[in-house]
Amino acid sequence: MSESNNARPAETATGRAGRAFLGGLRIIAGLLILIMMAVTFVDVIGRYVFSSPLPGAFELTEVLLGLVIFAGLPLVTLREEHVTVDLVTSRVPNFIRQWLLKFAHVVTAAVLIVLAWRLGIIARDLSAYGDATVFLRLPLGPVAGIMAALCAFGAAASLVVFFRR
Amino acid sequence: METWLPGLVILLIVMMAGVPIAMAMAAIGALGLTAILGFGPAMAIVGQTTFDTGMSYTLSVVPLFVLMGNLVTRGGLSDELYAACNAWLGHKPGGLALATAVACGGFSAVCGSSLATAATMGKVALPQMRRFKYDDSLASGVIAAGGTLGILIPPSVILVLYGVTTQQDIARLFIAGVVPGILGILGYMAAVRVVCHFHPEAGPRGPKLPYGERFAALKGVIGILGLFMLVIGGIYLGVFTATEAAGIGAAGAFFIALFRRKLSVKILIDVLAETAATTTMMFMVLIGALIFSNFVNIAGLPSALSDLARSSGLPAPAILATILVVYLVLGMVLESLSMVLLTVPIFAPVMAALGYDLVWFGILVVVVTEISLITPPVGLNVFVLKTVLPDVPIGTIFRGIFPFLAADIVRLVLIAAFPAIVLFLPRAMG
Amino acid sequence: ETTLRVSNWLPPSHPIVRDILEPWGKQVEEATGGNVKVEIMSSPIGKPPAQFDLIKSGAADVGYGVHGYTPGRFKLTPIVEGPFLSDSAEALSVAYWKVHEQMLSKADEHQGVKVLTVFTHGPGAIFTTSKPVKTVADANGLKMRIGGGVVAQIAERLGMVGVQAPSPQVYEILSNGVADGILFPAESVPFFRIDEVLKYGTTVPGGLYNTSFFVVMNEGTWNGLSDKDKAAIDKVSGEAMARLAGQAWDAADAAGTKIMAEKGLEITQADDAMTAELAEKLEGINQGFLDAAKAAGIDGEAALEMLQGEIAAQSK
Ligand code: NA
Ligand code: NA
Repeated sequence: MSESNNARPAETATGRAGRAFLGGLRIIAGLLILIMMAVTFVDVIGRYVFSSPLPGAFELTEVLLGLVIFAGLPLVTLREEHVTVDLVTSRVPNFIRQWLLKFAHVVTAAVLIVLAWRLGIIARDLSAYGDATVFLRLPLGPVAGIMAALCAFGAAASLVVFFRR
Repeated sequence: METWLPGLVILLIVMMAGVPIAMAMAAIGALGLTAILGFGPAMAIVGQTTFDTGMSYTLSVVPLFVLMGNLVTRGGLSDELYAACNAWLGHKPGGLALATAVACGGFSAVCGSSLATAATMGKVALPQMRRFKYDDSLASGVIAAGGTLGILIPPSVILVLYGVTTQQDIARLFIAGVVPGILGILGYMAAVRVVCHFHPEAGPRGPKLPYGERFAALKGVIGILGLFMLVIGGIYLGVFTATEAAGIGAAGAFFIALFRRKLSVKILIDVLAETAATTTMMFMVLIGALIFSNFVNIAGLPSALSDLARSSGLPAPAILATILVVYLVLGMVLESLSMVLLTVPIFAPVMAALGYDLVWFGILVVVVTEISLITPPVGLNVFVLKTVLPDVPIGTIFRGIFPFLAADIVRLVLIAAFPAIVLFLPRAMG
Repeated sequence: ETTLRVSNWLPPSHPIVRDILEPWGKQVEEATGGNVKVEIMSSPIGKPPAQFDLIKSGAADVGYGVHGYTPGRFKLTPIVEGPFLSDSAEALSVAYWKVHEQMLSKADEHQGVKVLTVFTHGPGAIFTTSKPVKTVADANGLKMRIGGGVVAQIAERLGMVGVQAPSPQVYEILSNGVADGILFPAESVPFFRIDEVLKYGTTVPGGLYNTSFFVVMNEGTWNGLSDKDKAAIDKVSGEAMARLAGQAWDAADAAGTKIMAEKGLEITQADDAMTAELAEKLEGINQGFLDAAKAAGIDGEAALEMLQGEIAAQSK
């Protein structure tokens, strides 16, 4: 009892920081979606009303989409919202289900760690080459780097769920 | 080198064990690639697929149409749409489900993606059908099936990819999709009627309203109709592309919701964050599916199948039937986009050599792809609905699919047997 | 016995696949006495810009791509992307390969892979849907779908508004008027079925622009081949493959031009006045290449001179 009491303040602190982090990420992911919408809107209006489309709207959309997908990953993983077939798992005894869930989270963590690692390597390579988008010259290395970091947070989230279960 | 066979079996087992579909496909795909190519090259493909799928302009329609659906729902438009539908159709058995089938067709006319159609109509129609005490199976079944029309009724991402792969005219493909799409709506309506004939409690009748009230209810449709007209009209008048229409439609829905004072900052953040979460879920599945597709591609599954079709010595209709059955089987486990990208380059030349029209074959491919979206165990439309309906077991949704699947099979056979159903419209345009 | 798997992101009917990679594969098989077989994969293993890295990492043995898709990486390939170079893809491709081999390869921009060949497509032209381009002023303000790299700079100098779209959407943006036209070689017009929506074409003597392609092999795969097989493959690659590729593009361009004529496209060649005006507007477009060459310790002027000389020699 006393042990868990001692551990508590630290846990709450990390818990609070974690919640703030996820809340911030949630707002950022939402804003990225809003910007995606605005980019297309401004591009089309610009093209017809001012006969000058938003330069590089296409590339901006691609970069925004890439970031949105991974910005949502930690939250979706933490909430266990990944699409799952529950045909079998909803019908087995509880203790088996718990083990299956643990297994699911291990696989999720493993996959996300690998994806984060590979995105990190892509980020390194793209930065080394100085690769950028064709028109706006947006540097692609940092974009891939952010994707990798977000993916790593997703992996961390799946481990959190694993130990929580 | 038939690693694809154990790969498929292990994938099924791991998915059944409750591992998220995206992770299962990515993991088995990566292991399979490693077995064939070695660790380094396999990991290179995994990383590249992940990065490329994220950075895809064409796929940006998916989150934007999801956003449009979410905003339409928050703007209160969907409630009014369904009030109107209920006014006109609610007194019939399964009336709201009938209206949903029609609405899915209508939404498909502004959306190139089946997943986005299912997601949007799921947001719009499910709460209503639940409110009117519809059976979850019927309600989710009609949306999952109706949502598949997104890739058949133009515009369609799949038809564009097919057209480019096989060098068929995309405009002709689009026009060819219209009649089969309408057939699809009628088939789904028939399926609803059949279900409600045997289980009247699945789709309860509502009160019959006088015509004055019915027309009054139509006022509630003006907003959504205007939005649809903006999107459809914009595409067909050439003001913007189908991809851009997603952004314009979302912006339109945003302004409508704003105008109706339905958006506080908090609600807006909720809507946007919800859209982002749905986007993450869908794209993780897509990434997993593409990694797995790379594996079965490199493992030689498509060419093994194509060899089988070619070396059989069967008459052309039998080969066609075989290919369609192969599609149905593949469609059970493969993600739709990757299935099309994998198989069309292999099967289209076989079809062309047998003298079949490739526009017609394209529509057949889309219809079997539609079916693949709702067949277990990997039925992406069903999974999308599951994200909208977290409390309903996925088995219940798949059970609700069966009557619609039957309608789809009837339609597939009709189109395969009578190519004129597909071809008379594009031929009429010359 | 080795099988080279070729990563492929184009349909089987595309000239690069049907008329370049497939014949080359047969030549490799013959030249090595059946020791080395070539298998063209039916589905892409990555997007076009990722091809170079995928081959380098061994995801496939052989692959091809467009240098301009990763513009920060290949700074010397714009040497063949400028205007007025050649009406013949064959002459330009062979000349390009020679210049690459003798001069550009010193910069080692294709580090980590074996370069099988480099080549270009045919002369790039202007195609429009509603009004012909007869003067440089006609081009001003047109919304044109263009690729990246030098062609984007050319379009900008001519006052065109760049519209970006992936190639599967080319038909859509032209048919519905999102774009007024496109910069393409003749081959690509029927290939993307846009001969139905385009009405006018303006060709430029020597081409308005061009595109640089590479075909590369994974280094590990290459090193694993016997010296005899290496020599045999070298014999049918390099210059021979550049020639094969150039001939394939020239034939595809001729076929494309014929189809466009049948479809009633009005195609004219830029007259002397327009050509002179273009030359004036595009003056110094090579500066990017010259700067990059200087940074790489290569004499850019000499490379350009050699390219012109080789083109002239090939065109005889
Ligand atoms: Na559609
Ligand atoms: Na399926």
